[in-house]
Amino acid sequence: MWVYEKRLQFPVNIKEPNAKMAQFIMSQYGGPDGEMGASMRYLSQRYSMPYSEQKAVLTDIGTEELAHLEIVAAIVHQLTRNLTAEELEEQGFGPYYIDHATGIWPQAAGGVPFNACEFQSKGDPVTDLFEDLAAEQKARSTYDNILRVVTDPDVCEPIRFLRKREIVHFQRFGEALRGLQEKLDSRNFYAFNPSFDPLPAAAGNSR
Amino acid sequence: MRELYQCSMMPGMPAEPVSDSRLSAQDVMPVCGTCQNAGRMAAGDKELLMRQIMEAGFAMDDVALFLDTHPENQDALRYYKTVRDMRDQSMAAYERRFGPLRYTDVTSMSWNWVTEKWPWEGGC
Repeated sequence: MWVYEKRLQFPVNIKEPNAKMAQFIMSQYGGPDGEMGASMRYLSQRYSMPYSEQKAVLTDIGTEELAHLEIVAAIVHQLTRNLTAEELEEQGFGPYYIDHATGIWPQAAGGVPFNACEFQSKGDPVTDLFEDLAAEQKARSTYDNILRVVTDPDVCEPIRFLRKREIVHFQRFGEALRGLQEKLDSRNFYAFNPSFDPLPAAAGNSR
Repeated sequence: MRELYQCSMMPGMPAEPVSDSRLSAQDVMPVCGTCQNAGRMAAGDKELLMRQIMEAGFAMDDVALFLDTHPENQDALRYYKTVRDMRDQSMAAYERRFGPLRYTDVTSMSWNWVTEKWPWEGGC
C-alpha cells in the first residue's frame, strides 16, 4: 500500500530550459544506475530478507527512491518545457523528441531503454545487500558526473540533494548488512542462504 | 557504545525538540524566488508552509531510516515524534488554506484534488 503526497521531497523550480542537460539527467530516471532501478531493486528484494530490520530498510529506502524518481522526472520535464522542435533538435534532443516529444520515458543518457537486468533480486540477503551498497555508490558517481557538467544552480541544488541521499542510503545499507551478519554464522556468512536453506537451530531466528 | 542520531542534511540540528522548523534547515530547502518577491501575500504564506512541510517531512524521512537500523535509540525516536508533529501541523495548516496534499484530506464540497498544481510543475 502506498499513499501519494502532492509535493516533491525536494523542490524543483527551473527557470531556464536546457534540453541538452535533460538528455544527461534522464539517465537517473531510467538509466543503469537510475532511480527506477533503485526503487524496483529494493522493493523487490524485501521479500527474501529473513529479518525485520532489513525488510524495513529496503521498504523505506525503496519508497524514498520513488520520491527521487519523481524529482528526476520533474527536472527533465522542466528542462524541456516550452521548447520548440527546432530548439530541442539544436540542443541535441532530436532523437528522443522523435519517439517521445517531451514526455518522460525511462532510458539511459545514451538512449538505451530501461531494462530490469539493471538490477538483481538474488534471493540471498548477503548478495542482495552487497548489490545495494554498490548501487548507491554507482548512483552517487553518476550524480557526480552530472554535477561536473551542470552549471545552472536551479538544477544543481536538487541534484546535490539526491547525491547526498545516496551517501546516507549507503550508510544505512551498511548497517543493515552488519545487522544481518551478526545473526549469521560468524565463521562463514556464506555457509547457507538464510532465505532458502533450512536455518540452523542455533541461529535462534525469529522470522 | 550508543550512537547519536544527527540529521544527515542538517548536521547542526540536535536530536532534541526544536520549536521553530523555519530556523532549522534554511540551508537545505531553498526559497522559491517567485514567492520571495510576492511579499506578504497569500502566495508567500503558501510557500512558507510548503517549506515547513518539506523540512519537517525530510527530517522525518531521514530519522526513520536511522531508526530502521537503530530501533532502540530513544533520542532518535523522540526526534522522530517531534518532527512528525511539526509536519502534521504544517500540513494541516496548509491543507486548510490551500487544498489537499493527499486525496484522503479532501474536505470541501468540490473535488479540489484536481484543481491545484501538480508538484512537478514547479513554482509554489
